[in-house]
Amino acid sequence: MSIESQKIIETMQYISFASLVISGIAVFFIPNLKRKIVLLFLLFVSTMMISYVFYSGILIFIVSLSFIFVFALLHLLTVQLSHYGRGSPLLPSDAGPPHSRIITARIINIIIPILLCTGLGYLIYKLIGGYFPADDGVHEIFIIGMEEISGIIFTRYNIIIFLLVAAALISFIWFTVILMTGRKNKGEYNK
Amino acid sequence: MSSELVFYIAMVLFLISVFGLFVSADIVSVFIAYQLMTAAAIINFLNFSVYMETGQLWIKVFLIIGLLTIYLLAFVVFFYIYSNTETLERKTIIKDHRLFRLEKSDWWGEDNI
Repeated sequence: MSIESQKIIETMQYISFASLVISGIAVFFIPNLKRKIVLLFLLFVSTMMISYVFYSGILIFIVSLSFIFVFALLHLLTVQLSHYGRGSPLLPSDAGPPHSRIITARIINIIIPILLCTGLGYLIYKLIGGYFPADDGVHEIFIIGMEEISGIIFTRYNIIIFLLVAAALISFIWFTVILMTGRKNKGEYNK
Repeated sequence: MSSELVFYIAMVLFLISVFGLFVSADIVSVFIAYQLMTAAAIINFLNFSVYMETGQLWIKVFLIIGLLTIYLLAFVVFFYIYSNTETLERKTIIKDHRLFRLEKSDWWGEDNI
């Protein structure tokens, strides 16, 4: 691979990692649900960009098909939920706890997870540090295609068994949901 | 980029998602935290698949099948929530879904009722 191509790939890696980290942090501090969904889409695009720069572009085409359905449904749910606003108190203002106490609870709720995550990160850094050998980033590239995937699926039976078990599990949950929803709707119509 | 740097970035993403799981209250944020966790796992798998000599194909096939399963499961869960929520119940869904909640009364034994 030429040096220019390597530089382009490295720049794409930096851009996608930066957008992942920035949108990942921002998504928890933005109160608007619709904005959160936009950031979720940005997260997904960055993840797919990363899979592309790691020479696994086939992930984009196969996984995106299922993600689009999830995203559309989540967007519908968000539109309905955001109609009622967020953080609006259900109780009247005089019945709730005092304002200073709410602020203290919020600060504690943010500080304790930060301390926990920092400690966890330090522990992992200490334990993993020095495990990776010196690396110049130049490797033999192996680009996967649909041919290889279908080849490995049709020759190894344990993948087929995994797929069947996953399909059975998902279908079981799906039909349970459909039946529950149907029963509920039927009960409402009969009223 | 070296594999170590990519691993540390994935670790940071994972820690952000853990932070989000603790802090976020509504179900959309919780799902986004899980999505971040999935992204960190994808990055680690791809990182090791590039820097490994053997087993690259297996990792990618596993990733595709695993991600398809995760998203189908997420679809079913959201369909269930979407189809089973009434107008009044939606307020409770949006209100609180955090994993743990710290308040003074939890530590001081104060009675809230």
